[in-house]
Amino acid sequence: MRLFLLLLVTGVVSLAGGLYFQEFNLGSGELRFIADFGFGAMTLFGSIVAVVATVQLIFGEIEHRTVLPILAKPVSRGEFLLGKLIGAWGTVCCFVGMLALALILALWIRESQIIARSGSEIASEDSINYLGVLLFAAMQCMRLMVLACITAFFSSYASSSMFAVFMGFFAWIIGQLRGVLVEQWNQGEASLFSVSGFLSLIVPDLRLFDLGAAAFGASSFDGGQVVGLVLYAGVYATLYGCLAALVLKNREF
Amino acid sequence: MANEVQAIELEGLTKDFSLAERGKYLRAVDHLTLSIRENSVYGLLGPNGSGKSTTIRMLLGLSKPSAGSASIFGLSPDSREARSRIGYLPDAPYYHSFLSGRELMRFFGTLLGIKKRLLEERIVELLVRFGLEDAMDRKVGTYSKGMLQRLGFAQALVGDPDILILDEPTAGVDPVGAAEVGEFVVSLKKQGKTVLLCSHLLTQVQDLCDHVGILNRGRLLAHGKIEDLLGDGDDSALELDGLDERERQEVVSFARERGGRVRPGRNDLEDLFRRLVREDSNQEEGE
Repeated sequence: MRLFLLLLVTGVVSLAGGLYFQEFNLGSGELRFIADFGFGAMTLFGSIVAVVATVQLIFGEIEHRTVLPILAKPVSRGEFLLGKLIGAWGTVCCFVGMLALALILALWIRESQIIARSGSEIASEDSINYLGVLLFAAMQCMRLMVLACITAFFSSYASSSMFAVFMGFFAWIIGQLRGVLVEQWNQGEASLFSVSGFLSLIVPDLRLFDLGAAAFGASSFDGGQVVGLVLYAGVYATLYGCLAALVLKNREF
Repeated sequence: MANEVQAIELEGLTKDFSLAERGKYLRAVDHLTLSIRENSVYGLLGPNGSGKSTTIRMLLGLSKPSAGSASIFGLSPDSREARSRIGYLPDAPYYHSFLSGRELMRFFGTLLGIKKRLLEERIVELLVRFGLEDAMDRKVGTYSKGMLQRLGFAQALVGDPDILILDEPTAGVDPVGAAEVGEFVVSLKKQGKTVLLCSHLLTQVQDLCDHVGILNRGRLLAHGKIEDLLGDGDDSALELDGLDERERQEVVSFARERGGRVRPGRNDLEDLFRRLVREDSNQEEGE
């Protein structure tokens, strides 16, 4: 809870910082700059919350042995895991939701100030699509659900919380770089093809969930793409959730 | 006797833990076979590392046997039904310290699927019974050791189980608390419950248990009714009775003249326990 609050405050502060760090703006519209700042905070701090909350909720129970009286009750290990994942994802969604609301509020205030100062509407390419911001936040929740499930998999067989946290962040980085890595490998020797094929199969491409562009100007988002991403997240979350359940089922307490 | 219901049955229960060295393993429980009949108090005794907790974990489905089987009223410990009939008091208070006593009870009751209204009534009833009425809304993290132990009993009983598995219920509890535990076990038996008790307080086990099993290095050295076990003393030990002080001294002098050893007669469970474990350890070293 303390970490959650700390990250939330940091996220909101960094978002507010976006309003005052305009000198780092490399030419994009002011609102776009603020939105990018907020999206970055959502992604970065959201990932930290996802990894830490999942490790705390799953491995923390194992480490502190509070799992013993729980599993001695008529609760299957799969149910235990599912409950913990729902808890972790719920925490992540709350976090992302709060940052999204803070971002929307910041953007709305700034937009009103700009309009009041200039007396005219903002150019359409620099205007903010608030639905797009909400969509970005929703897709972050999907991305972080996948990350939480991968972290749950590592937590289910970890012997230390450091290992689980480290592997969670490692999975996040690999997931972010996955598209680039596979591209690079596919350009190399043919023998690496199988490695890249395997990697592209087991590692989800977390960059796909970055729909920040939909939040700017008159750009609209593709409903099919959104449904596709939700399914993509569902498949990977199920895959890693099942693997975590399988490992946990065979874990000795 | 044939129609006695067996609450817990262990058949050749064995547990091996693989060691870092390839092909080597540690046998924590070695072909353990025993039955605990319904509505009895069974004491499982043994020194540290004798396999008591491992046996309990296999009974609770927390650990899988390497060989053999365990059953609760004929059901596998993995089954939901079996576990809904067991109340478990762990050897240490493994509870969420950020919850209050009442919340913790609510949490465990919900896991057991108890209806809300009934659960709330039972929570208050149990917390009052265990003297936690003033602390039920305080965080568990602020509880004393004795209070945590009482909370442990309360959570074990929240589902009104048929079997209570008490792993070291008197560990870290003061003598008054230990006596309360004893009274509580007696009351459980009166209610028709079956109790499996692991304890180091041998005198208490002797007073409370109908049957005991003594474990060492995972092997069951002896088990049965306490009277039978204690009655099986060796023939060379004699108990004197009905002699006055002078006659008793004459017998003692006679025995000492002939090279015999005379010590005060104290044939209790502690002696038996120590003797069996010592003999088993000596035998192991000899091999």
